[in-house]
Amino acid sequence: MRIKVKVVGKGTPEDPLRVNLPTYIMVGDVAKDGSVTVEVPDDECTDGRPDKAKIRAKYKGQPLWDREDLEV
Amino acid sequence: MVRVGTTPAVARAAWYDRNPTNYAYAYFGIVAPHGATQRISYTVPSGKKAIVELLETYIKRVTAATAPDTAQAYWQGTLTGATNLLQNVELLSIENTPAQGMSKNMGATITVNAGEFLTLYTVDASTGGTIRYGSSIKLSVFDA
Repeated sequence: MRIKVKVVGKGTPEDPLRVNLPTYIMVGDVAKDGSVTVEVPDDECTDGRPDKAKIRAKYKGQPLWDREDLEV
Repeated sequence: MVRVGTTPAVARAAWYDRNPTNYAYAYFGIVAPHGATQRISYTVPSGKKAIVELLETYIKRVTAATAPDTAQAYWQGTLTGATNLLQNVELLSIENTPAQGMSKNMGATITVNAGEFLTLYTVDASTGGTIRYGSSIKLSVFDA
C-alpha cells in the first residue's frame, strides 16, 4: 500500500532521515515539506494509514515496535 | 512386532519448506545532494526468519555537480549480538561526469532473525547536480 508520511531525523549518519515504520520503501525523494511517499505492507495499515495495533502484533516482543508509546 | 515408547523424532522441515514467502524490494530515484537517508527498511516480523539471497546497488551521476563530493549507497544490517553493524554492498563515488557510475551485486546468504533489520542508505555531499540511485534486494522469509 502506498501512503504519504512525514520523515524524522536530521540527515546525519547518527540520525538519518527515515520513516518511523518497521518496513517501507521510499518512492522518489523527500519533499520540501518533509513528507515522502512510501510503500508499506498492507497488513500494517488500516484505511490507508499505519495501524499501531497491527504493527505491535506483527512485531510482538520487539522493543522498537511493540511498545505502548509507539507513534506511527 | 510391537513398538515401545513415544513416536520417534521427525526431522524438522528445511527452511525453504517452512511457509516461505518471497519478497523483493527496490528503490530507484534521481536525487539532488542530501544527508543520510534510509530509503528502504525491512524488519523481520516476530516468529520469522529471513534469508537474503541477492543484493544489487548502483549509483550513476545524471547531472554534473558544481562541487562534487562523495556519494554513497549502501545496505546496513542491524543484527542482534553483532558488535558492529554489517555494512554491505557499499558504493562510493566522487565521479562528476554524467552517465558515469558504478554498480555492485552480491549473491548472499545472510540470515536475519526476528527483530533484526536491513536498511538501504543514500547520501550525497556534493553541491548541485543529481545522481541516480538504484538498489534491490531479494529475501525469503519463513517460519523461525
